[in-house]
Amino acid sequence: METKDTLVVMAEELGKAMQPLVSASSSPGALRDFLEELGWDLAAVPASINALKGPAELATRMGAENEGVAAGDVQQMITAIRAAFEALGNLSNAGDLAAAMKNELPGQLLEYLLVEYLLKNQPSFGQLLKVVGIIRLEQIPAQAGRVAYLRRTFAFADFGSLFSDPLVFFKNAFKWGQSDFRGEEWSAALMELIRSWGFNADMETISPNALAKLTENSINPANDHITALKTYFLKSDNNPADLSAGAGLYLLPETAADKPGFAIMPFLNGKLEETIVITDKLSLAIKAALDLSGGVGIIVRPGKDITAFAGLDSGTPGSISGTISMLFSANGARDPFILIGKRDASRLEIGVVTAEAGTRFHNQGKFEVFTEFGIQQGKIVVKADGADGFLAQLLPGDGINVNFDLAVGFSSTKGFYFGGSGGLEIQLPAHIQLGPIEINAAMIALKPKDGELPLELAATIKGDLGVLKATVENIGLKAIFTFPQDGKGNLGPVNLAMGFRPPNGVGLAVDAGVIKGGGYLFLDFDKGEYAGALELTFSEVISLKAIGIINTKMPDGSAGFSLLIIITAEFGTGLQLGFGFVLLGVGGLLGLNRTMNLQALAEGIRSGGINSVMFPSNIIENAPRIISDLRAFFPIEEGKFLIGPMAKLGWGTPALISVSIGIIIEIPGNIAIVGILKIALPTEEAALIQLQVNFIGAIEFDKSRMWFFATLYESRVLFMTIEGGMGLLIAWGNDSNFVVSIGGFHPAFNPPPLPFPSPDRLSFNIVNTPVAKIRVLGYFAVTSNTVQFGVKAELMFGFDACKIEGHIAFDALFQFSPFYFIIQLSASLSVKVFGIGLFSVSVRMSLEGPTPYRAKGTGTISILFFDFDVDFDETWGETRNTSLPPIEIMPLVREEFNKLANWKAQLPAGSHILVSLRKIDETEELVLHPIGTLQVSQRYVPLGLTINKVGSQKAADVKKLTVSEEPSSGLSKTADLRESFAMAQFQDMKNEEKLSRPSFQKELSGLELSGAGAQVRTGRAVRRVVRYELIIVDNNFRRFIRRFFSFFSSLLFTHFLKRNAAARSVLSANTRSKLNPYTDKVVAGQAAYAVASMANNKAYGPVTSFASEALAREYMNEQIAKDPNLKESLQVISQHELNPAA
Amino acid sequence: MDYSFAPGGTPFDGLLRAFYTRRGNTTLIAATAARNTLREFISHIDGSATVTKPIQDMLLGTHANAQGYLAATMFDNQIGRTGYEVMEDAISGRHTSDSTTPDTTLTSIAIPDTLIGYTTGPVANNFHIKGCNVGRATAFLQKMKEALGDHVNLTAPLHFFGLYQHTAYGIWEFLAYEFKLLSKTAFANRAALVTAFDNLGLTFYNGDPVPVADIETWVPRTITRAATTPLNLPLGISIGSRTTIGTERQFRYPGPEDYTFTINFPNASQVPSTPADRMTALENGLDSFKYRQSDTVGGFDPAHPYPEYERWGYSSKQDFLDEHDWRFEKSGSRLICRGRFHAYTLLVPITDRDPANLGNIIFNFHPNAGSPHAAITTGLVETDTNFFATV
Repeated sequence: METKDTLVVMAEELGKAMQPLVSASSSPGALRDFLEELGWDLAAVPASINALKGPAELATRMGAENEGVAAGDVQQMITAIRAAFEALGNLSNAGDLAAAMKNELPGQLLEYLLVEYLLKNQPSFGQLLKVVGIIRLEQIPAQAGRVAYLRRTFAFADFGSLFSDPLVFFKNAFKWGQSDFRGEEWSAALMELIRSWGFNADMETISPNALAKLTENSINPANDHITALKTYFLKSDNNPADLSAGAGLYLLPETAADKPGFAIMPFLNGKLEETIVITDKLSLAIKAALDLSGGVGIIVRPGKDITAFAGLDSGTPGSISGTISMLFSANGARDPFILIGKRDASRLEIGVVTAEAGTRFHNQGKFEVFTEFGIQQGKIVVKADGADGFLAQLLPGDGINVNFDLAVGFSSTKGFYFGGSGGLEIQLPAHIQLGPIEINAAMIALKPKDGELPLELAATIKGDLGVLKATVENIGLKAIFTFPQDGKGNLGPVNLAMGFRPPNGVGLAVDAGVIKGGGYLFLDFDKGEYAGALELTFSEVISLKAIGIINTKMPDGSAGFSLLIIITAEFGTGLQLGFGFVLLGVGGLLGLNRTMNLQALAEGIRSGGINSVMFPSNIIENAPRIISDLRAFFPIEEGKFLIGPMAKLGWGTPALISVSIGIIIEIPGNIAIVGILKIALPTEEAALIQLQVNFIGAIEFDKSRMWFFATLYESRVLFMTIEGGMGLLIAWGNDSNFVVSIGGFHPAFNPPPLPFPSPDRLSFNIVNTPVAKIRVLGYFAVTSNTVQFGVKAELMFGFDACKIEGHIAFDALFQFSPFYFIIQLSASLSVKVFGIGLFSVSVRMSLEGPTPYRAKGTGTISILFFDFDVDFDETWGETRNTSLPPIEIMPLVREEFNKLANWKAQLPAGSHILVSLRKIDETEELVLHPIGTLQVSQRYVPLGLTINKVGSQKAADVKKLTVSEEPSSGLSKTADLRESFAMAQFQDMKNEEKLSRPSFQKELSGLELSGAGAQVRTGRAVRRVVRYELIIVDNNFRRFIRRFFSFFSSLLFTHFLKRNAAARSVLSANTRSKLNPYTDKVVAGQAAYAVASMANNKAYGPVTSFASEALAREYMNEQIAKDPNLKESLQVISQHELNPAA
Repeated sequence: MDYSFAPGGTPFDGLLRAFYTRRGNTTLIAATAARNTLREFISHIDGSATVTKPIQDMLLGTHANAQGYLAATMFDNQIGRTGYEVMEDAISGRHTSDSTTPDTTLTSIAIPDTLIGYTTGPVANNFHIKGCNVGRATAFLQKMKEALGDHVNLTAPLHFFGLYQHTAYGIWEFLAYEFKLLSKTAFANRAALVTAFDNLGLTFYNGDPVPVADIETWVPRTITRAATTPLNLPLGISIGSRTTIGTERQFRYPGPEDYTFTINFPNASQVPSTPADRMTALENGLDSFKYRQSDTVGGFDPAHPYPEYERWGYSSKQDFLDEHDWRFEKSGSRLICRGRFHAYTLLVPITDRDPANLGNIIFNFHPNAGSPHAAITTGLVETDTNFFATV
């Protein structure tokens, strides 16, 4: 059969759409009656409406159903159709129509023609639109100036909500979810739709048993339906009971608990093969895990889970679970269906169309109803035949072919979805070459949002222009469809706005001999982030690299600006500096409104992410990873500024040892040094020893600490890999602490919070093959309480069927004053065959000493399933009392209190004394301001706590010390003072207590005193705004002076003003503080402790808060001393862990 | 008083009910869950205290077709769709609950004589079926009359039965020709189809031959799918402001259709495999086909009062075989025989052939309650043999 040109077909169909108008124009009476159909009861037809007759007749005549349009007449036909639609539109300006008619009739006519055309001439599509509720037919009652009529509409206004609420059409058109659900209309439309698809569909009575079950609890039995819509996909005309398959739809009545719904009743009589051939192109596959005989009903009610019943016809229905689906497959693989175009010419064709509908179990054990339409072996063909010379040059000889598969579905649980994609987005691989341009892929995306339907069409394009190669990712167009409520968009009820879709990324590569390199720009307009990377090499001598990130939105979404850029220049073989040293590269880091995340940097040291900061390599390839690392290391923070010079030095030619080091200064904030040390001997290409140490050191002024962390990364000696890390922390101030660790900590040790990750064990993999492994691990650590040391060696020889394994390990805790050690040893050797232990010997022991030595442990020998244990506990050597003689503490404490250095005279808080003080030369006397405070604090022993010893000597004279003011001194205590004490020096602790309790604790150390009696107080500070009248006498006054750079200079000036020297001077700070006398800060209070019951964490005793852990523990020990039964039931916990009293 | 019944659930059934409520001297009996068959309708009016007996006529509104099928159900548990066999069942008492123990108390649709006041002699009451084209199934109508007790005149339309409702006016009743063409293969082009229609020797209701020019007008350019042409046909008079009603002309072509005949074999291995053997099996199957196992005459036997081939519009079993393109498919121990055919239908509203009123639609008009417009019931009278069959 001859296939027609698409344009001709479209023109003919549009002409057909005008037919109702032509038929109505057959006589004046007919046109009057036609208008009455639309609700307008007129005595005579206005001339403006009569004028529609001519254009409508012309349009339909050319595409008359019997004659057809010749290809050469297409232009005339299009002109005629346009004239007809323009005449329709001109009705809105007609002078002989009433205002209401002018406003409504054009749109009403258009909708009438469109709806009628779709329903009558394209029923497969039109009835589908009616079933889903997009096309609506509503009876409108008579009202002022209008007679009753049937209104035909397209529900354009609901399109905006389609993807957020897929049932919106159904709800609005048929009142789904309401008592007056228009089920009859819906099932009637469904019947027409099924018939339009070529299947039989009719209303049939259902069995009394099924009717009884489906109408159970109906609130209005008299109105219950007695028929169901039944459609047969397959039926034997001579014996339906032997062979029939199809589905029924029954409208469920409202019950007291549920709104009206519907039941789907698939049926299958007789045994069928999996796939049934209906026509030579159409087949049906019924997949059912349910027994469909006896009547199956799938109940769908608004707002309720879908349920299923079997045995509807038998009178004893019961719930079931399972899946059923019917898949129709129209297979045009040999003879594809051509949708647009002609065979052997440019066209859109599809090979296989599938339509599947059914129910299946959702992953939460609920039913979901779904329907899915799919296209397979789809093809877009663009031929050069008939194209002009330029296009013919561009297009390949055999044209462009783009293959695609597509699936669109709707599910009661997922809503709309595209099959095979994560959302409504399709990527189509294209690989279309147009001269120097290659279109790699095309993207179509529909991303509904806020009632808009933005449709994006984009392509990824590659251009090859010899020395220059460019890639542009996803550049294209964006069409935004909106549906204005008043239905007046630029496309009638729809408003279309077109826009440019900027690319996601732009890449450039240059290879021009002398200059090689490239760059990549990453653009995210929605997030306001733009990142780029550039790498250029000049004659292999200088390599310039740059990477940067610009943000125009703050993390909270507000407008702002931040910049981070790293620029490095590396010099091939380097610049000689003398003594064998060479300068391999220089670089720098600059950050505006960026801060430094030291924890992330420390983690980057361990993971190797620091390579993204220190002279990164292969920038273009690794751009996404580098940019991601930089985001993590240097997050956005307003008001912070980063500057970081970097250098890369080497020793030897070629450089055998290189160190990249950078100093990153945060203003205001901290200082960090990061670096990478690399050693490759004898040469980098054939290194026998390869060591890379990544390190970071930081001085954090705000936290009063400095630390250093280093880790071995991708290091080896010959074939032995080496791993491990080290860390050093020195903290002063309120949380003073000291930690150094190489290779980590003792397994039982709970390290304090560290600013760097716990260092990895120092390990040497001496042998590491599938059949043999020898590895040695070790660590060494010193804290304020402990010294820890440990080594472990592991070996394995053999393979899965048979292997020998062994290890030897020890962990030690040392104390130097007095000298004491405890070492835990373990060793084992085992032979395993097929994973089962054949023979093993192991020893676990602890050795402590030296006076006396004691060895305690267990040896075990295992042979198959039998174990032989040997315990031992041996003590030998002299028992020496190595403890030092007791010490008298009181004199020493008294001496501390006598030291002038421990006394301080403080000025009053606020310092707004309004009196200038004479500078006093330093004297031995302490000068106290009349309203100031006097502080005395010592660090020798903690006060208010039981003291067992001081250092390694027992306390001879006192157990507990307290201090108070002398009543007659005229001073009274205003506050307690606290200092950090290492409690292990003052109280007896077991080793495990030493490991688990805090190293330093804030304990009472002194007093703060002030004059007794009422303190001087001032009134509340208030602000007053003082303005002065300003008169300028200026003969040369110019009102407006254009300053071109004032905007930029003022912006930058204001920014830099914040943290410059002038702003940070004492004078400025003083002036600022005077204007703002109160520092409103959120201050975290000191941690408090409590004694609580182990059973329920409820506070024990009347005192629920102790200033330190030691105080709480002392109280607990006092309670236990009074009642030993409490020993296993009390514990010291942080106060925030308390269980509030009931 | 006439009593009417329209138990179906389609929009057209709704129109039928609207028609009956407007038809003069007619009471519509509503269908319910307990009253949804013809038998229950008859029982209801026979037993109702509000019904004055004897009644005049009875009307049944339902979908129907020229093959002699009605969509309405005759009695509970009837076997299959209402057709010739169901009428036999109604008479014999055969029903699904116990096919070996006939019980006419469950199946009979005979109208009690007391209900219609029949004693002896000529029949004065009518039973009017308002359903499309079923008037052409004479054998079916005769059997149905027998099932109704033989004491009513049974009438049915010879054409499509149409209803047009205008909310402000009422309901118009009209008819449309069904010009149907069956073909074994699809027509290659429009011209061939027009010629084929012309060769059918179509005539208008008054016997005038349908000119080929009219067929040219009615057959659309694209013959591979259905087409609808809206028409505004003149009434010939004014009813209020109206002088026309909106109807349509249809070209129906649902695409290739299959007559599916299934033959069961004892086991899968006995299902024939060659086309010739399969065709032989089909012929044998047709010969042995019976509508009911207890039938003594086969469904394709010319001796059957209403053979299957006649129902489908063929003159003989051979004609039936020859006019289908047969394809076979094995499914287990079953041979599925699909006879492909193509049915082209022209649905054309019946207009007046009288030169004085040429082109005016022939109609009845039933106004809304309280309407100032008078009813018009002279256009389509059930005794007019141009439009209705009477048995």
